[in-house]
Parts: sequence; structure tokens; C-alpha cells
Amino acid sequence: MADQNHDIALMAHLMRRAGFGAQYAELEERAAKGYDATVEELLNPEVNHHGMDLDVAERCFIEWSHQTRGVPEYFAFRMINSRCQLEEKMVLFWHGILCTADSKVQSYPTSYDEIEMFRQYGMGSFRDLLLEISRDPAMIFFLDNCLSHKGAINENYGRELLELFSMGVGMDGEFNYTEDDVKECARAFTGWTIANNVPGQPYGRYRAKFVFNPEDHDEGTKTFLGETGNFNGEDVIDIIAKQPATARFLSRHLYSYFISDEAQVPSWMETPPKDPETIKMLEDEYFRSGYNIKSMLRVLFHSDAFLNAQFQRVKSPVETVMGTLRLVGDWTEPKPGFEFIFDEMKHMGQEIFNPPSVEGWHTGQEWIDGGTLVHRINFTADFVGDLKQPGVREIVNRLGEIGPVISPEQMVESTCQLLGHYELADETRQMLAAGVAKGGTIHTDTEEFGTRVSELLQMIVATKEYIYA
Amino acid sequence: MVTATDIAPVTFQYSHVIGRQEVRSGNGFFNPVAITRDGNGLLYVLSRGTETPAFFPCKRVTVFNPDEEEVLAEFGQKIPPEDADETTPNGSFMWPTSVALDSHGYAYVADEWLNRISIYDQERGNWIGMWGIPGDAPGEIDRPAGLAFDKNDNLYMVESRNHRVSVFTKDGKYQFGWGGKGDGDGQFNLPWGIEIDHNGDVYVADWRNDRIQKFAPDGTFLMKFGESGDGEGQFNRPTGVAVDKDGHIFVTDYKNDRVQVFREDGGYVTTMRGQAGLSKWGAERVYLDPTIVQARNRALNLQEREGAFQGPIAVEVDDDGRVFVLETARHRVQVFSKQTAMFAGEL
Repeated sequence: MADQNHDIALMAHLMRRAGFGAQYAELEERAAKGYDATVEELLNPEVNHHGMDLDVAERCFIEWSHQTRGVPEYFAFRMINSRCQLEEKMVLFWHGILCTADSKVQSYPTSYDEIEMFRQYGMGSFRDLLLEISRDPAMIFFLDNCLSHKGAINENYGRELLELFSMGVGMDGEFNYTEDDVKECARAFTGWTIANNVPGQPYGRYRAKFVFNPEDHDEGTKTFLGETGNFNGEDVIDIIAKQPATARFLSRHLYSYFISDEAQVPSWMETPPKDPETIKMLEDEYFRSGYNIKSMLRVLFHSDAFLNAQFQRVKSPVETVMGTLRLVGDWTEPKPGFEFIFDEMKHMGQEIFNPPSVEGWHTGQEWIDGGTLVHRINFTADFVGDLKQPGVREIVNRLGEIGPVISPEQMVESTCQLLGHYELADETRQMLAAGVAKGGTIHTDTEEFGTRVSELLQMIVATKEYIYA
Repeated sequence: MVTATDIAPVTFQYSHVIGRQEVRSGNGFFNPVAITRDGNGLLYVLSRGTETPAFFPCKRVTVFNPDEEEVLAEFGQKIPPEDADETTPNGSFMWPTSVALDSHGYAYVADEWLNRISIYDQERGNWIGMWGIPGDAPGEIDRPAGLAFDKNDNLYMVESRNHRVSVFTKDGKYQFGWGGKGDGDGQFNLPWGIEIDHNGDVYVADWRNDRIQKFAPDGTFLMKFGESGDGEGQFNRPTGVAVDKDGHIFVTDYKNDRVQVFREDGGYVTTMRGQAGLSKWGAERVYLDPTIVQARNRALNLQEREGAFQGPIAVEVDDDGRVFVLETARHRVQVFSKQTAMFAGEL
């Protein structure tokens, strides 16, 4: 019994990190399959059906079927409902690193194509992903590579490719590249542009298309990161992919996203990794596997650092909202009124498809301030306090199965388990139990019991501990 | 001796395009989903609109003349999602799916979220009533989709989530019905569009079964055609069906972005993929802004990209051989004329 409980707690941890959380029944089902099998299922979405009726969803939200509008909502629907949770979590991961913003791109079909590209390449070769993002029409427009010409380069994409997408400014106190490398990188990407698109009037937005314009490509000799040749963008990516700094950069991002909050990216040159051993393990796997992201994730999910990292990351607003909706079982099928979800995430500090800059969102403690914390707690408390939500009813029913009368301590303990084995400080636990005890003896077969459970749930999600995943 | 052959080729000449993306009202549509025509040749297009942004008042029926391209009337309005329940005000839409006209010209609009049929008078704007009881018992409705009147003003309604066709009087009295979930003859999987031909036979776009089924007016199964795929005679979620006076069957093959044409026995004839240029209403918008004109002049493969169907969702025909294809993703109606060859000469 202890082993099974341990497995479910571990599974809850895995699903919070490799997904957006899960109801207890799913945790039991996955735990019965085993941790290794679940990791493999999550790592291989291409052979596991996502379990969604996307055609029906597209029929209800008619604008989803051709991606002319509603692309953030479509992405959110998949985050909530996809059985392939890691696939969606990785799409969000890349959306926060290889950033573009709809506020500039203003073409949902084009942004949709970018998200689909992340879905296709997000767990493959990092080299291939860098190549695809360099051909991505949304990125080419967002970072002005379409304005970069032979003899008149725009350095924007070349700079961010090195600084924010692959290597970072520096490592172990040393710079990873020079200003000349940035210029040479930009020269290599001249001619990588987008076709003049059909304008959005009068029939709505069209998806942009990548084109390579050989007339505008600089065919001259370039020296980049110590190598010299007539490099094209693809050659530059090949050189980037084999740099130790690239392995470090990707490993730190994966560590910060899945294991424990790292320092913010701009400080990585001077701030060493908090867990050098695990980072080294991931770097080694990067090279051993031929830059394969899935292989790195497999190593990561089996690492001691990950297995022991429960409740060491502050949930992002997207994780908070999607996790809450998955917990209570809302939005399992289309219904009117999706927009508020985006308002909530925005008020908590994360507006998907509109990161604050090309640097993406700052994470960890920076998610939390007085305003965003209040929004976070209010949103979550509203949903877990709603007894009409099927996931809340399920928690009430499971608690009722314990026995006709339960103690306040048992009620707190079991409720935390059903939320995904949350670990509360003793002081918090005692405070919650004391609050529950004020209502008198807890009879599980009364009408009032549901209300007492929902009130306890609301108190738990307002604790400091619940901020963490 | 002069003769004509009944295997003559059929082609479709592009005529013109009507519409533009218009989120509010006036000369355009916004994610239109249904089209029908009245006895005077006026077209009625139902815009389903979108969920977001919430401030777009985009759900409506637009009545217009397809030749002069004049908007003559609009009716219906959007209800905020949080108010879309049994208390929704009369005449409002949440998820409208279809519009049909009875013999007096009254318009009946189905709403698949509210499970109600709203009725508007010939003045095109006055709500005069509604009916519909949610449920799955005979006479109750769940997710009404396509609507079509027969010559006796019986309303044939596709109920997508009950996977059946139900027939009502125009004031909502249940007559009979058929169907059930499945892929056998006479069964459906989330059906959508419906058409009644000149003989009174009924065609249903059996959406998730990727096929068309034909029934006698009493629901007796007559034939079916189609299967999943993107080849000739295959479908990827067919949404709408129309039958002209010659018996040609037009199917909007929604996710394949095409319209397929079939003989009355279900044999494949041809495929239409769209040829739209700049519409009259579109030109009104485009020529307001020189930057759009310049962008259109620069655009790569403008004609090819702009012309192609995107989300053909419903189709209507008239007795003059005209075909009206409604595209939800491009907010417009492409109009075509059927051309049938007449071969002359000695046999």
C-alpha cells in the first residue's frame, strides 16, 4: 500500500511537470502502468492517440478548422484535454523560448503553423528545430529577417538565434560568441524570407510562407565561431548545434522548466547552474544522442534530481489555469465562453501568443506579485469551490468512501492526496485541520459535507505550498 | 438527326463572388455556416461568428440580392456566452447552425447550443416565435444542425447529437423521424447538412461517416455514397448538400476544401476548388486603404491563393443552373453557372 501511494505521489509529480496535472483516477491508472511506461508514453505522442475529438471541437468553434481565429483557444483546449500531455507541455516550452508575438505577427494561421511545427519537432533533433524556426514565417517576420539583405544586413534574427535561442551570451564567465559572429550569422541568413502574403482584407488572414531568395543571399565567405566558408543558414545551425554552449543552454532550459527554477536567462553567463551534475548529464546526452531532445527528456525524467524535485517550481499562470481546469474536469468538451481563460492567464502575468519580449517570460518567483497572486488564488478557489464541477464531486465522493465519520486531520490529509499528494508544512496542516474542526463532527453522508470539502479545497489552494508544482 | 447524350460533360463557369469578412453588420459575413434562397431569388446567409473577441456583434442572418449584391435586411443578434441559457432573449443566437424558409417566406434558424428554432417574419427582422425542447426522446432535440422544408411545410431537422433526422410541423409538432448512431444504412454519426430535392427525397451529409445518404420522404433508405479520404468520391467531413433540377448532387467536402459533384446515382462527376477574385463588397473595403491595394499587387500567387475554397460549408442551387458555394473561412459566396454540353451531329 505504501509503495502504491508512493507511486501515485510520484506520478502526480510527473504529470504536474510533464503535463498540466491529472485527476486522481488518471494518476491511479498511470501508476498501475508504471512510471517507466508512463514516461515512454509521454515521450512518444506520435504512437499514442491524443484522445480528443478535435473534429467535433472544430465544428463547434468553427474558426478553429482553418485557424483564421481562435488559435490560442485551440492550443488551450489541447493543453486541457490531450492525453499526450508532454507534447503540449513541450509546445508551451518552445513557445516561451523561441518566441514570437501575435501583437506583431497578427496572423493566427501563421502562428498556428509555428505551434504545429513545435508539436512536430519539439522532441526531435534540436538542430532540426533550429532549422525549422529559422524558416518559420512568424519568426522571420517577428525578428525582421525579411528586412535583412545581401549587403545590408539586419542583425536581429542572427543575434537572437545566438543569444536567446541556442547558446546564450556566455557560459562559465566567458562569452560564447562575438559581435562579428552575430554579423556573420546574419549574413548567412540573408535571403531567408517570406513571400509577399495575401492581405487580410477583404477575406481574412492567410498563412505566410517561407521562401529562399538566392538573389538576396550573401554568397561571400564568412567566418563564424572559428570556422570559415561560404556558409548558408543551415551551415551556421550545424556549427551552433555542436557547440558545448548549446548543450549547456538547452540543458539549463530543460532543467528550469521541468526540475527546479533556475536563474533567469540573462544571468546565465555569470551564474553557474544550481545542479552542475544533472546539467552535465543532460549535456552528455545531448551529444551522445545527436542533439535529440527526447533522449535528454528521458534522462531528465529518470534523474534523481527530477525524482526528488517535488514542489520546487513555482507554477506558471498557464500551468495554474490548465491544471485547475484539468483537476475540476471543466472544458472537457466545447462550450461557449472560452475567452475568460485567457483573461485570467493574462491577469496572472502570462498571455500566451504574446510574450512580453523575445526573451519570453521570466519565471519562478517572478510570476508572483501582490496582484498576480490574488488573481491566481481567486481563480483557483472559484473552481475548486464549485461543487458542480465533476472533478470536485469526485473528490467529495472519494472522501466519503473513507467512512461515515472522518477526523479533521484525516480530511486534510486525504484531500491533499486527492489533489495530487500535496505536501503541506505541519503548521499549515494543523491550521487547516483546526479550520475544518470548527464545523463540528464531519459526517460524510450529509448534504453539508460537500460544502465543507469545497471550503477546505479553497483553503488549500490559497496556501503558499499550492503555488508550487 | 440531332441528339444529345446523357453522359455529356458538365462544367462550372465561375461567375462572381459575394462577401467579405465583416464582424459587425452590412456588406459581409463572419464565419457563415448556412445559405438558402427564397422564391424571389434572394439569398439568406447565416453568420455563426466567433467566440472571441466577445465584443464582435457578429451573429446574424443577412438577406441580399445575389445579382445586384445589395443587402436588404439583417436579423438576429449575438448573446454573450455567460447569458446563453434558457433565459436567452428572443431572437438571439449563440451557436446558430442553419436557416430555412417555409412557403410563406418565414425564416427558421436553428441554434445548436440553445436547442431552439427561432422564427422570423417576412419583414426580415421581426422575431415571431420559437420552439424546441432539449432531449433525446422523439420530438425533443439535441444539437439541431441542418434544416429543410418540404413542399408541405414540414421541417426536416438534422439533430447531430441525437444522430437522427426528425420531422416537425413548422410550429414544432413532431411528426416522425429516423436514424440513430452508427455507420449502417440509415444510421448517422454527427450528421450536419440536409437537402430535399424536387421529388421530395432527402439527402443528409453524414458528417463523421464521411458519406451522403439519400432517403425517401418517409425516411426509407435509398442509397449512400462516399467514404473517408481525399480522392474522387471520398470525403473529409462533408457538411452541406444540394441537388439541382437535373439531379446533380453538390457536396461541400469541408476539410478537403472542395465541392464535389455527383450524378443522381451517386457517381462522381467533377470537383470544384474555387476561383474567387475580388468581390464588390471586398473592393469597397480594399480601395479605402492604398496600403491594402499595394499589398494585393505585391502578393505572391494572389489569384491562386485567394481564389481557392477555404472551408466550403454549405451549397445552394437554383433552377437556372447557378451554384452558390458558401465558405466559412473566407466569409463569402462563390457563384458558378453550370454548363452542360449538347452534342449535335449524325450518329
